[in-house]
Amino acid sequence: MFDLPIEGAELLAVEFGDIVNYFSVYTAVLFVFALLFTVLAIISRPEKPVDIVFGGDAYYAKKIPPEQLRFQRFMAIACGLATLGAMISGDLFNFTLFSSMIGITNIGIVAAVKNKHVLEAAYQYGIVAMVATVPLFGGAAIALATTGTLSIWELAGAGAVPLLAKMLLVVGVMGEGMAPFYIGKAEITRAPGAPYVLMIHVSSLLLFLRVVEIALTV
Amino acid sequence: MIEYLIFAVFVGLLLHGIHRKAIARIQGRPGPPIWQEILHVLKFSFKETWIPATASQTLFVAVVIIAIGVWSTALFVLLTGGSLLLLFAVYMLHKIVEHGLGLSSGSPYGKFGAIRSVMSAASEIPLFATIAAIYLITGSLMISDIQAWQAAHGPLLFTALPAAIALYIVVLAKMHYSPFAVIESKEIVSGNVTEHFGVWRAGLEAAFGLKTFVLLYAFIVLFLGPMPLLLAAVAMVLLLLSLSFICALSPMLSPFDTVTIQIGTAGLIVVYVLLMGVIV
Amino acid sequence: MTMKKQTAGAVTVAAAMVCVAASAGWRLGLIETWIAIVLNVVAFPFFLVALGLWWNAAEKEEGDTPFIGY
Repeated sequence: MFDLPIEGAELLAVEFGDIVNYFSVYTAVLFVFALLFTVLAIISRPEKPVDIVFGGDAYYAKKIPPEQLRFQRFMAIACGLATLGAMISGDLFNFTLFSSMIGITNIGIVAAVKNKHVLEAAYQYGIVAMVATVPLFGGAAIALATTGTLSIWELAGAGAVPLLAKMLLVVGVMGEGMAPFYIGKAEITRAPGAPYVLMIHVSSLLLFLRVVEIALTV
Repeated sequence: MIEYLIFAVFVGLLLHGIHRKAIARIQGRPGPPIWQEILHVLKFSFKETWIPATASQTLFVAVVIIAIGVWSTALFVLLTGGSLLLLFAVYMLHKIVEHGLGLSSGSPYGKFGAIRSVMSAASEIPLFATIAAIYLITGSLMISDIQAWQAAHGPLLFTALPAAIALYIVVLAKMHYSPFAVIESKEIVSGNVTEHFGVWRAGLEAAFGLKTFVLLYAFIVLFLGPMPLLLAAVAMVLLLLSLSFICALSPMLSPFDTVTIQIGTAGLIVVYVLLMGVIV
Repeated sequence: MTMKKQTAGAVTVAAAMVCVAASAGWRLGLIETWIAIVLNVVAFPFFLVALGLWWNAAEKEEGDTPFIGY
């Protein structure tokens, strides 16, 4: 199917009925990147954050309870798996499901952190992500209603999906963690556990890159 | 193939040197010799190196390797005429490198750099508007097709000027000393690269050299079309000098101002793309 | 944590060999372009970092602490 001059050659396709999960050069690169950071979240130990006391030379090291970091790691790995799924999914609905799962796990990664700023940011981000699922699933629903299928494989290059559905999909994914809604997430970065917090950014950037591909393909 | 990589690293570092020299001359200083950045990398690589005790060790090192790998990929995508979308995916992945650099060290300055890098994620939005504009005009996102289109119809610079301006701002945001370079601004020491010293910094500088080369060359290829190597080199230096002028004459913006300007640009480009989509 | 000079040297040489072999194979038409690219992209970062670690690694295990003043 991939004769489209958008994302490079098709490498591999795995068929499940009319749902075809596929790797193109583009999604394969994204997949490898997601895999790389999931592995990093699994194998690397978290950093030991240091804070400075403003107005002096003093600094102090923060103590982070290991149980908290273990939970963060679990959530980061779950987030990584959701990202991997979103990268190879050949189905609009599966893609939206993976997107909302990324939104949930992103909150999970920082939910255990006992820091007012982090929790507040996570709460706000959670609301935005929740609201964003409406356009996200709405986009997929409109695509289904107008074309009768959700398979990206079958929709590719047909131009059958209305512009509105594509825009809703993109808006939905932006709500899951791209600029300008990203700003709410900036404070989340205060949370300790670099390899896990990093997964938040990896997942939302990759998700956005994938939805751009989908919007151009279908 | 490896020769392309090494060539691009050295040329990129040389471009950094020219950038510094130009900024210095505009500001009335003598400035360092243009090969200074190459010497810098060599100097850093000879320094004693270890991993800070507070750092997340694996991530701390992995990010440096990923930075080099990511921009090597970008170079090859550009050289083989691959997908423009992939090239800019790589550009976005650089954002992850920036986060990772800052977060992995455990240093508060690195962390501030990383938070600022999260906020300046707005700079990626003009990029996709640019891609959309190019796709609407040329009907393809393969760089080889875009070059073929330009060979037939003339440079995209004139056909899609707003898209070119958007990409110009994106490239500007990634230059050293740029008004948008808040992540490495001096009030947070060196921002996200504060804790990466010695060999790690040498590796990063090499990656950044590669990045400058790729971004400038991508601009030339996308908006001026195919041209002989020597002419492309001249065009790259001219483009760089124009960027140096902006960097030399404008102050570092505050993080929120950078976001405002970038979102504003993005908004204009989106309007332009929508208008074009309706008219064409 | 520092890497032994020998290890760093070995990584440098191995990565350099992969890069050169992939590039040469591509030039001679033995290796497909994308394989050569993947090999180069993977090996080049390791080459660069290991090279730096190799030439700054101390020959001795623990050097003499220099006089740093009273």
